[in-house]
Amino acid sequence: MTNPNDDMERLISRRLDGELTEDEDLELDRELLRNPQAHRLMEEVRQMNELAGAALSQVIGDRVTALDTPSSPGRHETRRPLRHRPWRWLIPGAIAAALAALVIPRPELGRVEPPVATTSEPLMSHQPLAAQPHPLMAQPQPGQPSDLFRNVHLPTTRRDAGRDIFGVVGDNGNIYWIEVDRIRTIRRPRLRSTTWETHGM
Amino acid sequence: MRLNTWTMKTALAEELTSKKPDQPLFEAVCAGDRYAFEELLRRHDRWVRAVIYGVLGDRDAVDDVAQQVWTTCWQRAKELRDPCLWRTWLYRLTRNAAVDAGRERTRRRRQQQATAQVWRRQKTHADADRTLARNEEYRSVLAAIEALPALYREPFVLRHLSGWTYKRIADVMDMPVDSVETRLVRARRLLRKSLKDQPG
Repeated sequence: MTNPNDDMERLISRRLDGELTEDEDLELDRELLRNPQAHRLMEEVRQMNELAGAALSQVIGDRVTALDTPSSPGRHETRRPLRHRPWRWLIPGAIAAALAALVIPRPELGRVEPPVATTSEPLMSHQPLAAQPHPLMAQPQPGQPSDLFRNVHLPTTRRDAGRDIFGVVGDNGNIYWIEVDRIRTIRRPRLRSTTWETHGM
Repeated sequence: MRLNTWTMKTALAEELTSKKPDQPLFEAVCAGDRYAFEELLRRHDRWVRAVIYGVLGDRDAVDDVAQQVWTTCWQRAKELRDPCLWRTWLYRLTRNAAVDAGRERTRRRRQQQATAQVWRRQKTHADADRTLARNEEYRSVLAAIEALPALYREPFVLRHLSGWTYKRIADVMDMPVDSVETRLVRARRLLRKSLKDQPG
């Protein structure tokens, strides 16, 4: 035999969630009219439910940064819409710049095109640096003997990973960075000719 | 909103007429459509975050785990054999990620027990200067929700943030509808008791 209070709680919970059938709805209305205790319980649960929903929406549904805003105790901050806070875009902008630095090759040390597919065959060959002298080294400085610079090899660009990343802005303003495909580029020890191999991951 | 117009028009038109909403969107994601993925994320990020919070009970961890979930979703969407079950698949992915994050957090806490005293003292001072909620009531109810057992907290948070019916929650969580209802009733009962017992 079920506890009448448990039945009442169940009906109240179902009403708050919009899951009552018509018969259950009528039964609950009758009980609320004749039983003041049931009416108090209904109000109590309803208020608690609304408060929980509002608190959860603020914490999880909305931007989490609202909770990270530092403020002195007791001071209420008015939260302006996102469009009136341009400085917030500095953070994703800085992240984008850092990621771009990883992806975009440095032209002055030998341009390396990022591989676009995972294949077993080498995508490109790299000429030894001796065949591509650095622009600064090509013309010895005035007053300096050219012999000192003839056999100097500048370090090549070390690229261990190429990534294609795109960003998605969620409904609450959070930015998710999604890695499309990770490709690792491995540089072989230099022999007579240096070739690049690409391994897909 | 940037859209691949042909793909999105097709996906949206199919969604309106389809009995399984968002399935064409997910199928476009499997085909590598980034715009479809963006739209899918916007529509379903809220309940994904609700599941994470429901499992972990820690709002600070939600962002990191959500990032991990959506990255994995993009990378492994094509592995799903039956796109009809994409919602259940995403729920399992989210739940597993949250559980793993919880285990990792517990493991790290055990390792750092020696410095926990100092850290807690410092964190308290930092929290005093942070706005955790708009007012004391929000703070109290959030603390009560986070204190709930995960068994009850998860469907409760999911119900409030996603607005799903009992049946949909039951389908996603792979449990009977009656169990969902019972857990919600018990969650509300525990919350009421907890809020009554709180000082002030």
